[in-house]
Amino acid sequence: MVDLEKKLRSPFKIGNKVYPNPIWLASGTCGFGEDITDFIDLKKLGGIVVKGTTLKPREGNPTPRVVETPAGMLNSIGIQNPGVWGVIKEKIPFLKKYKVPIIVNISGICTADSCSAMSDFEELAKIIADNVEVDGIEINVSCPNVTGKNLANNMLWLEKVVAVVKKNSKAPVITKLSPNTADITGMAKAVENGGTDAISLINALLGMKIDIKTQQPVLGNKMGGLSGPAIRPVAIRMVYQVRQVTKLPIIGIGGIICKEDIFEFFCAGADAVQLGTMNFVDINQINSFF
Amino acid sequence: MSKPIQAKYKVLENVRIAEGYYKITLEAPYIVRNYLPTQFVNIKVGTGYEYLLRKPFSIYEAMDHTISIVYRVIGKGTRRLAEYQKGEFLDIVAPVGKGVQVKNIKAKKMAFIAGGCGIASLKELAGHVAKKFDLFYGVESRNQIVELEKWRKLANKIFVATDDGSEGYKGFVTDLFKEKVLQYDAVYCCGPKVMMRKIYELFPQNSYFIFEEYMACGIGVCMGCVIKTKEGYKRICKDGPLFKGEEIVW
Repeated sequence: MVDLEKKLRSPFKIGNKVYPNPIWLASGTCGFGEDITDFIDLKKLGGIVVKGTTLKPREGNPTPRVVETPAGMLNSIGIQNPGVWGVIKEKIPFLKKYKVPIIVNISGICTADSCSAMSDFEELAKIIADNVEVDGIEINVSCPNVTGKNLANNMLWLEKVVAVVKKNSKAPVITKLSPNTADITGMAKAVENGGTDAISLINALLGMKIDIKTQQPVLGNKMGGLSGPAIRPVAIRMVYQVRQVTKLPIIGIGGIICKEDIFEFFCAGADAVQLGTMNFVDINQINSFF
Repeated sequence: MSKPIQAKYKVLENVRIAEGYYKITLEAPYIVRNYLPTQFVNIKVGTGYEYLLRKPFSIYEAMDHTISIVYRVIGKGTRRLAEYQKGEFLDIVAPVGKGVQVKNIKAKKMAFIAGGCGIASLKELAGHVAKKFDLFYGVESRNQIVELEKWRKLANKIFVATDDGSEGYKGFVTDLFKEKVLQYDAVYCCGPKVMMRKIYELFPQNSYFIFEEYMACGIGVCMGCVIKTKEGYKRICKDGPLFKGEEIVW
């Protein structure tokens, strides 16, 4: 039996890189850190995965962008961010003051009309490696709100994109997998073949809510990513399955609300976790984990 | 601006004040000491996962050590809120939002314009500029009018419009305001988006609007509750909820 309490307070490693503990904040749920310092002492975190960063600034999707659903929520933010240079110049310097491990979540853009995802990822990795020291790169191959083509399900593409980012990065590379696939272990093996240093999962499940008064989807973008406790059993199952096929570090994500939920991810095979929707619901409680 | 905190606040009273409208009063000395007008509170209703996200509500009144919130029961979250009894506690993140420095309001003759539950977002600010404004208030029917006797003490004149003509002018509050636009040097408005757009068209300079949107975090991190401005999307929860009309891409 694993001492779960001890694991919660122990350093966590990806390759040779040591993170002070296995509790990270998930991308898109903590901005670039500025606005959560009222609630959480950033120095205590094992890592903070900043808002999805793209090559160019992005305005994001039309509103409404969020809506509550049973035991969860849907979001379709659309990676609103100031672009990689904005992040490097305006956002990272703030976080550096807190001495918290910084993980930059990077996204290539692929819409129904055009796809520059592969070259975006390559350039993002290069720009970050050449201009700022960070503690990890998380490859977002699975944002449910910007990817027109379902690249997260394409094993050859996944392997290639991971290889490109790995080749151009100095920091450990984590690949964030999408749950919107019938073959999660196949995706895990593909990113391992590509050379990822760790795997994080799951990103949000693609979902929809319809307003029966208007008979139209509620979200401006129609579809959105489902997160919160509603998705936890799916996340636990996928972490468990991926653990069967890889020895790489696994970071579990999906609907963690309390300490017992973190332990459940540890039992499924996760080495660390990311907290997401919880930051919106009960941010105070995070302080009790350390 | 004061730091928002997450804390539990005791319910002192929770009563129905008009058809579909309730007023909940909470013992909240921290909020009273630290809020600015137009800031809001983000309430976790219930304790389980059924009402997962916090619900944002304007501070209707703040006095001594209590705040009150006026809300309209429109869904399951507000239905659950209406069930709270005296002595129970609510988990709240507050004060949130940017808030208004009242000393910066130089206007002498203002119009406060409320549509439906928009009235709940204007009262606190109105209390700081008493007798410097007229109230324009539109509701569906007279039985939905909220605490008009209190507003009489604050406003110079009150103009009410109802959809069914059961009180005041029969029709839209925007029509009432249209007749009197030239009398005012500033406008503060909260109501349905379509009404606010109309008010902006009638009064494009020095008009201020309180916006609502579905929110997830309420603290500025999720980028969920944004509004399109001339400088791109801004966060209603952090950069608002009050915006100058000229900033907005209507």
